[in-house]
Amino acid sequence: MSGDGGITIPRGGGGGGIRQPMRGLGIAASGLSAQRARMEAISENIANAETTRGPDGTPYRRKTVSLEQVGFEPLLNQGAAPAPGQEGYGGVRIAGVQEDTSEGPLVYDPGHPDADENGYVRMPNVDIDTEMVDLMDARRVFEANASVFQAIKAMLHRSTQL
Amino acid sequence: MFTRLVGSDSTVTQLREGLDASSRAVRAIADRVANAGTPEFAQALDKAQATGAPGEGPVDLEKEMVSLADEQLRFETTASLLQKVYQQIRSSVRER
Repeated sequence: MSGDGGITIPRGGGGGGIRQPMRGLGIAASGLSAQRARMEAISENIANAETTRGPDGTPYRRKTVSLEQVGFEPLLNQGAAPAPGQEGYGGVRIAGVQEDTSEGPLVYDPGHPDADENGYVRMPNVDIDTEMVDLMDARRVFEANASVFQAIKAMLHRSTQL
Repeated sequence: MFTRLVGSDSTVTQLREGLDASSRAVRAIADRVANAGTPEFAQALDKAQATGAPGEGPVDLEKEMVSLADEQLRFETTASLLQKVYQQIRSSVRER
């Protein structure tokens, strides 16, 4: 089945509503959830790599997660202190989940229940190699965000010991 | 005399500003790492590069991790120094 396999979309990045010293943690956490959403989409794609009939009768279509930055202007002045009122390192948020509309390959398999009159079956447009490369990328960025989270946590902890 | 121990030009203040700078830098790193791969971020960086403002192409995770380790060490060193200075002040005001 295709359907929404339950990709949770956490709205809003890490910035707002968090006390200032902890905001770095919120940013790293927003990166963690964004990458987790990417991994969920990838696992749904791989799980449905052979799904020739979804709820609407068409083959499964590959899903991709697009990310967008929250309040990125101050970042261009890297390291510079943000002006008062635009304390704006906001992290990342999920802009949306898109379906890849390209057509999957036609495979000759006359015995297949979804074969057309010539014996061809339209397969999903999921390419396992692409998904695996995407998965590696998502995992690498996830780990980087986890390291940043731990570093900020250690710094906060250290500053309580002064 | 005492104002120089905790005043605005004191070692304590300078070290505290150092801690603030480190945590700001780490927050910027957190934002760059969180945004690794977002298209508008890459565009913004391209634009910044074209105009000569800071920013060097898409996010380089390894580079960010190195700067993170660097900032962590800087923070730890500054915190230790600050702790030492506080210790000195404390022992100098303690009655024998």
